[in-house]
Amino acid sequence: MSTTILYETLNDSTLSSPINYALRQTFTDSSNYSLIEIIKDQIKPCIGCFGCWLKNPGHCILNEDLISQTTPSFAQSDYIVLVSPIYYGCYSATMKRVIDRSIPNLLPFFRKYKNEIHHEIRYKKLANQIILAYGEDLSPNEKDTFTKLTKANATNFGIPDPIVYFCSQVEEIPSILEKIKKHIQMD
Amino acid sequence: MPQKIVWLNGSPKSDTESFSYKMIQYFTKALKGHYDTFVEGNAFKLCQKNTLLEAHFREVLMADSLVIVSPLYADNMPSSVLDYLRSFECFIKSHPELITHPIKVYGFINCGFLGGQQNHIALEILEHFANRMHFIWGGGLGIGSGPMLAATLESVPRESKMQQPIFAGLDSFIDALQSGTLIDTSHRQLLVTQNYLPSLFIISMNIAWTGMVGQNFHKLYNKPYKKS
Repeated sequence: MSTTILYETLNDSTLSSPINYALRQTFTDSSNYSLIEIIKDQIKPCIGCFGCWLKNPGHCILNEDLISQTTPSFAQSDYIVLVSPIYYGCYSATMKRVIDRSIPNLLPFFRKYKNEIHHEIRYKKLANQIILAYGEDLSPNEKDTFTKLTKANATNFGIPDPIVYFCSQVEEIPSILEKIKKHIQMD
Repeated sequence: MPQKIVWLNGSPKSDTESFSYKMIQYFTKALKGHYDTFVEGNAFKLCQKNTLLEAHFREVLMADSLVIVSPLYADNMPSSVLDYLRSFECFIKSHPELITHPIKVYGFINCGFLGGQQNHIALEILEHFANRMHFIWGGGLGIGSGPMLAATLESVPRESKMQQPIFAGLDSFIDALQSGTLIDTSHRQLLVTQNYLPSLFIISMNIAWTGMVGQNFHKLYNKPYKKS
């Protein structure tokens, strides 16, 4: 199973460094894992131009940044692991840049899916998602909102509901990463 | 007593292309006489320069209401809005002396899908932001079919069956902004949808998309990242 792990660095969470260190220790024993470090200044925000649908379908027209690695991974991997601090029940702005600019993997056309209207998928299948969401003091309501957000994103991408792990203490990191690894290996 | 409102436009598009900008103009017109001062900022532009952002935050902290007007990107707001929210929280932590009163936060989110309910998560995120900041969550309006609404807001009468739910939602939202009150619904959310058959909506929007592709039609179904 090819797995791409997108992890954010350079944020102010005290959990960021230990998580990222542990990721680099845990997911290096196989060529099936690919780690991509997400740095904010290396990804431009989406400008909502629809160029990825209308001008150069399938490609973001702002292609000369880290997106040239992350966007294809949503289509080419079996699993995507998103590792992000959580604020107000949503991804960090940095990780959201990655997600916003992954929409070239969708078509502009609408379809009815799960009783709602969503975009059609460009590819036969997109990567299943596992999410490691972290924050020192996430409230139950914020966790609930985030879980709903990940499910809504999954519906948009036509993939099963993702597995979400919340981490609020350094001590939780090893067991969470082991669970993620086991889940990928058992699939 | 003079009342001040700050609009945050969450769209990265230019003003002429932005439905969020159009709605800010619509709301401003409706609120003349209820607010004396209107300030507007664009998240995408503000987040490019720290000095601009901090000057904007100081304006908000002197205001009565902050209204985030944003499109829906991936069931959430664009990354620049999230950047703005987080930067604002960090600014307040560094300048607590600037908070003199709780500010009311409202949200208006529009999506390209038909259903207004698909905006509910974005409004919850704004509610959590307001709570973290110890501001007052005034509530939010989520509207579907943003592009269709942009084209019909002034051309299709508000009394028409198609537009009635939309204008009912807009009127309730404007009432809350005018009086500075809280929207009286669950999570303080109003989620409204045009009266339009979903199947017809899909057909008409797909025809519109096909028209917009134009000369690139042959590349429409490109799969550049297909697994080998």
